[in-house]
Amino acid sequence: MKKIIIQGAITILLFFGTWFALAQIDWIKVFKVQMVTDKTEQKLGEPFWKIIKTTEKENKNFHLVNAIESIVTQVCKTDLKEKQ
Amino acid sequence: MIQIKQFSYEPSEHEAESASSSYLMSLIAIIVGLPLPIVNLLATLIFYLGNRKSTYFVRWHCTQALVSQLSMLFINSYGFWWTISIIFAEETITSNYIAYIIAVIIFNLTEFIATIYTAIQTRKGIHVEWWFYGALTNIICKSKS
Repeated sequence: MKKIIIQGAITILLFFGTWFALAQIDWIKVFKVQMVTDKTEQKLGEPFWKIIKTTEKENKNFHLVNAIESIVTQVCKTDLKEKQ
Repeated sequence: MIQIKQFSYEPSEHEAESASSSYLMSLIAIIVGLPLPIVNLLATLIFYLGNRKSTYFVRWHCTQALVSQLSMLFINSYGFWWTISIIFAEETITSNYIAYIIAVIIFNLTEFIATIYTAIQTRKGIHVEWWFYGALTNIICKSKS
């Protein structure tokens, strides 16, 4: 019985050990996950923007664009900080 | 990891075929229901239940196949639901996740190769005991005589 418990513990340890060892590698960099995500976001964003452009009226008022951009920048900065 | 041992008696041709089928069952189920971790366990469980009253050699190998599938279910299920939460929920792909998936693939591949080898050997009537699972099966499955 003791032998089985030891063997079972070794098997479990082996799995978690493999996982832990593999987790030391920065797979996000290896597989360029961020780059692929950014590309997908851009590709998805383009048709969405096209749809919005054709169905809605684009307002190019300088003051309005400036105000919205400052809000967007603030939101993005906070979001990035939270993610980090 | 895998040991060839002398069984308490010499299994007949029919017994060797049935015992080998229990491993084949899990292999077929892996191929058919690959993304779902429960499918191969269910297939082995059904085969085990169908052979509960069979001879000792067949019962022993059905139990070993079932026990090995049971432990794989836990690690596969965790990986499966983690993937689902990345696709449909707010989870993101992390290094930890990729490391887990690679570890799961390594363990599944090892189990897959061991299952193929065991299926071939048991078909020849050779008794094969796996590391940990073999000893565990010896406790669960006892000879009626």
